[in-house]
Amino acid sequence: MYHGPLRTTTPTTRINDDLIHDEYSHELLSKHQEFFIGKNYRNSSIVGEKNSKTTYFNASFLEKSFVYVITETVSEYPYPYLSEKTWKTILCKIPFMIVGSQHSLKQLKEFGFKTFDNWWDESYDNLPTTKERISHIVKNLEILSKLGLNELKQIKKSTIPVLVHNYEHIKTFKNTDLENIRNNI
Amino acid sequence: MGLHEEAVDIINQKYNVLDFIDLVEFLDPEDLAARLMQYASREFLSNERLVVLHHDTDYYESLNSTGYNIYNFFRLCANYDISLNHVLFITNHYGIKSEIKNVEKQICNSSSTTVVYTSQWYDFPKWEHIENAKEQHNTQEISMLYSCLNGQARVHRLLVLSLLREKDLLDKGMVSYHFKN
Repeated sequence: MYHGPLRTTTPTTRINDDLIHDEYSHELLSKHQEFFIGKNYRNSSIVGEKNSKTTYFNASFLEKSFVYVITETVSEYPYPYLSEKTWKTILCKIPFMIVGSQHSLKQLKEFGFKTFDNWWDESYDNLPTTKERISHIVKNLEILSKLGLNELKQIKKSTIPVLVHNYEHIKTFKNTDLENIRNNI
Repeated sequence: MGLHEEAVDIINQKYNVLDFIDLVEFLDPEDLAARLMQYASREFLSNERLVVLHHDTDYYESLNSTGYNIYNFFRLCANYDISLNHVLFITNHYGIKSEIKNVEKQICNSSSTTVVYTSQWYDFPKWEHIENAKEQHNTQEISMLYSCLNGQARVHRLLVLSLLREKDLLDKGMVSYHFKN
């Protein structure tokens, strides 16, 4: 049966990296991508399997860092897209910044989670392009990099109420989310 | 299947599910056509449902366009005369309802698909994962400013790493990347 034209890509893919095409990004990539492309690297503190379904929620090594910069599955995308990378960070009680779609933090807040606007500028979440969001996040890191480890430890300690709230809330959210399915199907 | 068992049970308790169609399995739209063809012009009983699972990313030509998976699914429903009243669309794409309503209207002249948002997919922690993480939050072990773990090469990940390198921040982080094909 002829069913009219369907849409696909060659080669087939679900991710359109070409949506990031501004001049600044192009120049930055031209300068640095040779350092990364075609290479694998893993800091020696990182343990566990890459994206293993059995180990990806056991990431206690993340505790050794002050903040987790989550590079989500997509960044230039019409909707917030949250994967195990974000859930893992909440579960491990690590402060985070998200390199992802616009309004990823807003979505998390709508779910009832808290984020870290008391400690650094989270207005990156509202910026419309990936380039702007990334620049803003790296600027945050630049500012934090001026602090010593002891200061970072103190700041991280002050984030504990948010980290604990989020950990506790993930259980509430799971229950509410299942209830939401029950009520809306 | 990508949806958590608990969520699947809730759906199965309410409906006689004829099929769980996980769009992640249909990179080639002809395979989706073959799967849907069996329901062409079917007269559904009132409690029968086709459940569509949409949890992986879709391909968008621009941020205002229609995702290819979404387009293909509704294109095929129109061509196979599949009743959208009996389609349950489960997704983690919060906000996608208006895109679906538009494409339904344009292609199917209908707006009857039930869209339900959830985060309960395979990559959301199970109860035991949550319980196991109970004691975790040792703030005294910080040795790095940040961590940034990267799986497959994507432009936004390359951009982050490039900018971190540009600003001499790369060695202040616990970084990984797996960009070798």
